[in-house]
Amino acid sequence: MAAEGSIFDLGYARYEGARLGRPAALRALFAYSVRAAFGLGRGIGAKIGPMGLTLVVAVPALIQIAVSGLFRGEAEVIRAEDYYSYVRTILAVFVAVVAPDLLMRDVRSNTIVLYFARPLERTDYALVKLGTLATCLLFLTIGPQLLLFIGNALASPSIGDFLREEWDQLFPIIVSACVTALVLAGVGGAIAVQTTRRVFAAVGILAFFLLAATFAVVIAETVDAEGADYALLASPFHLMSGATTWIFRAQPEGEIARAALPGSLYFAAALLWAAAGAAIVLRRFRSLKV
Amino acid sequence: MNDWFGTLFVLSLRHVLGQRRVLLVLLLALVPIAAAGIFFGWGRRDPADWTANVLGNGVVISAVVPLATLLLGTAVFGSEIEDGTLVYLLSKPLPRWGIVLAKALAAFFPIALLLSLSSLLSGLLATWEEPLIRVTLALAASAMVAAAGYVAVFVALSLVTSRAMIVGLAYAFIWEGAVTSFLSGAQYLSVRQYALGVFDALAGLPDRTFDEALPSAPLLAAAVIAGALLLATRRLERWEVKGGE
Amino acid sequence: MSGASQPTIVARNVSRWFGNVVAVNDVSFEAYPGITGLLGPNGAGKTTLLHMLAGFLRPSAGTITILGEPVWQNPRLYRRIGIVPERESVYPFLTGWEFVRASAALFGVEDVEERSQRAIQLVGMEQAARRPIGTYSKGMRQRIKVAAALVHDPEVLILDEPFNGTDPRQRLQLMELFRSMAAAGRTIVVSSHILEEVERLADRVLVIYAGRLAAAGEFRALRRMMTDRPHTFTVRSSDDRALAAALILQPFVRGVEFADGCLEVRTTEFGAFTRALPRLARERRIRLTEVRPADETLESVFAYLVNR
Repeated sequence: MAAEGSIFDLGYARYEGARLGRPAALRALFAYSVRAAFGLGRGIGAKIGPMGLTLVVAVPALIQIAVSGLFRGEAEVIRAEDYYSYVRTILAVFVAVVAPDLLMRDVRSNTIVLYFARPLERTDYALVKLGTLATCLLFLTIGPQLLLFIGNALASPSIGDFLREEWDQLFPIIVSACVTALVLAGVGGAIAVQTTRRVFAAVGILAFFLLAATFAVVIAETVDAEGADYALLASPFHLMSGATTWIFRAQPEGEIARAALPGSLYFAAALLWAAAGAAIVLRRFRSLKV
Repeated sequence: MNDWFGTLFVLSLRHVLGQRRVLLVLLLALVPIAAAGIFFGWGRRDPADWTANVLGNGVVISAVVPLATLLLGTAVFGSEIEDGTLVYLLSKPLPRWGIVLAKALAAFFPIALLLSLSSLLSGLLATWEEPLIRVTLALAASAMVAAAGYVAVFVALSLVTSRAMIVGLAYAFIWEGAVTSFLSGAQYLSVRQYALGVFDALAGLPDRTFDEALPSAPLLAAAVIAGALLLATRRLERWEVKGGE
Repeated sequence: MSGASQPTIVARNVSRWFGNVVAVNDVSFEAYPGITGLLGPNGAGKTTLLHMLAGFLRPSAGTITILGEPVWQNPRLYRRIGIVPERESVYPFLTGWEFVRASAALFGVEDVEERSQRAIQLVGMEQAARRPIGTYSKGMRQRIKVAAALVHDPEVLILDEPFNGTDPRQRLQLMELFRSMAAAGRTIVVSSHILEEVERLADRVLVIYAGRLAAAGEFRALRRMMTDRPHTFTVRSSDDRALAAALILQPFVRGVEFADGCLEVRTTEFGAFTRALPRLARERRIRLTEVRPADETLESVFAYLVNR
């Protein structure tokens, strides 16, 4: 039989519409990542962790509101500048739970190839994911603080007076929330991208935060040498505490008080660590072999 | 009679030790030694106080043990479920309590070995001037109690939920870390507190130095371990393999 | 085949659903010593059914008994059953020898060394068994799994897609092994979605489609049961035209077609046709040189059932 062939027109239509390009891709990835981080669009199991932790982080704020309501705004059990010292472990757990999936899930299942085959650059992907992590953490750092602020305002005898006196707290609240979120995101992200296995990443993140803090205290408190105090700058938890205290111009407590390092140093170091962490994440994605 | 338990235990042990996470456990075990080394070189605090509060409570029992046991305890069943090798064991005429026990022991032994050595070395190092043998031994013993408790709990968790690691993290660091300081009743449900209670009882330190007494801590620990292993056994007996097509 | 009166495996009204999805729908069958094939396309419920047979999954409804005992939550029964699941269920760090020996020890056999030796020989893995399983190809893994599953000489063997990844020679070897085990009185259940495999191996066939048992029995018998579909025969004779003329007059003949030097006859009644054909030929002094059922393969059976 002679070789013949036919091609059939199945009605395949070319796409002639607008192509939104890179900015739209970035926006879409960001929105999707934030939703996925909190488990939206997935089963209930994926929601419990992040949302449960969000709730727990808000607990001190709720306690303060309850107390404040009872005592008509006279009591201050939880202060804004101390907030993160209460919840810092929980924030670390949140990073340990959310960061590995957020950053490495696509790498693990190799679907990241699909992302790189789009108008998205590698650094775009990495930055968006990091941004998502920081944004999620921002919910957790600003949210409860705002809750605290508004709660106190509502509980006080005169809202007008309260606002007049306390409005200048808003600036430190926002800045300290940002710094805290950035440090957590940068450090947590840098650790998360070291491995595709979720368990290792989670334990690694938590271990780093906790043990760095422990070691920093051990060194700063027990070692009498010159410069031992600078060990505190190696602990993300202490950077968060120190920077927050400095931003609020509050009185330092505990080992930070004893160390007597200038508050601005914590702030600068915090930003440095955040930047270094982000750089590590970017580098990892750039050098990723797919 | 044939030694199925021995075979099972050796198999599980080889499985655990063959995984990369053992290296992380090794690293974690070095942390107390490093801390003690720093104290040895530059420390000015009362050694008993430091060993009990910083080394014992802070480093070993509250950080190193939970993290190490989380890594291995969730892996003994977790990695088998993930890799699909659990059916190999399930298709054998083995009593399910035997499987649970063998796996729990396979996770416990390496940790027990590493951490008891680590505790002894770091305790001796920290109290070098006048070795506080009693406190050091108490530290090693309470680390064992903590390890046993955590392994049992995490093994049970890995059979009860697919997100055992997250639940384990939440338990060890939120429940035991934060909640117990708010609700005093919660300490009766905290492996960390049991271990600290055992340490308090064995170390014989004055209350102003260290006070985490918990009446009947060993009993509570034993009850939790038994309960967790029983729960794990029950779950394994009813284990269902859900395969895709 | 089924000389035994007692079925080894009995499934009664077995169903399994996952939420709203019914994976296995009211399946009942009996398996006897010999080889029973479980045939169906992927997603038909074969693996779910096999998991239930193996005691790895609890039926949502119905009962499964093997050797007279329920198989769910009955670990002791595994002394007499061997299971080869489809998924990877081997430890990559063990050598083949260690894997089979451990298997033997865990099954509680007395002479571990001897039995392991035999099992590995049966699957033809003596050389490769010294290497770690992590270095094996898929076919080798399958074979070592089979060895580990029969090291304790079980009366029942359940295999899920055992020929996956094996090359033709390995497949033949395994089939030979299963046939000899079946001849020795063992009950073997093999699942596959590949018609040729089941056709060549199984005495009895269970056809599963969309969770339901579409047919059960010896496949030729199944074929005959479906009388509303015509059988096709290929007939060669000394005078095809005359034979065709005679045949077309018969009521049970649906159609006659001339093909490459032979006749293709479609008939609705197997029995009537096979009796009538020699008679018709003899009456007209036509010599038959070949009479062959044209579509007795499992393929036609299956295609028919699926399209029903």
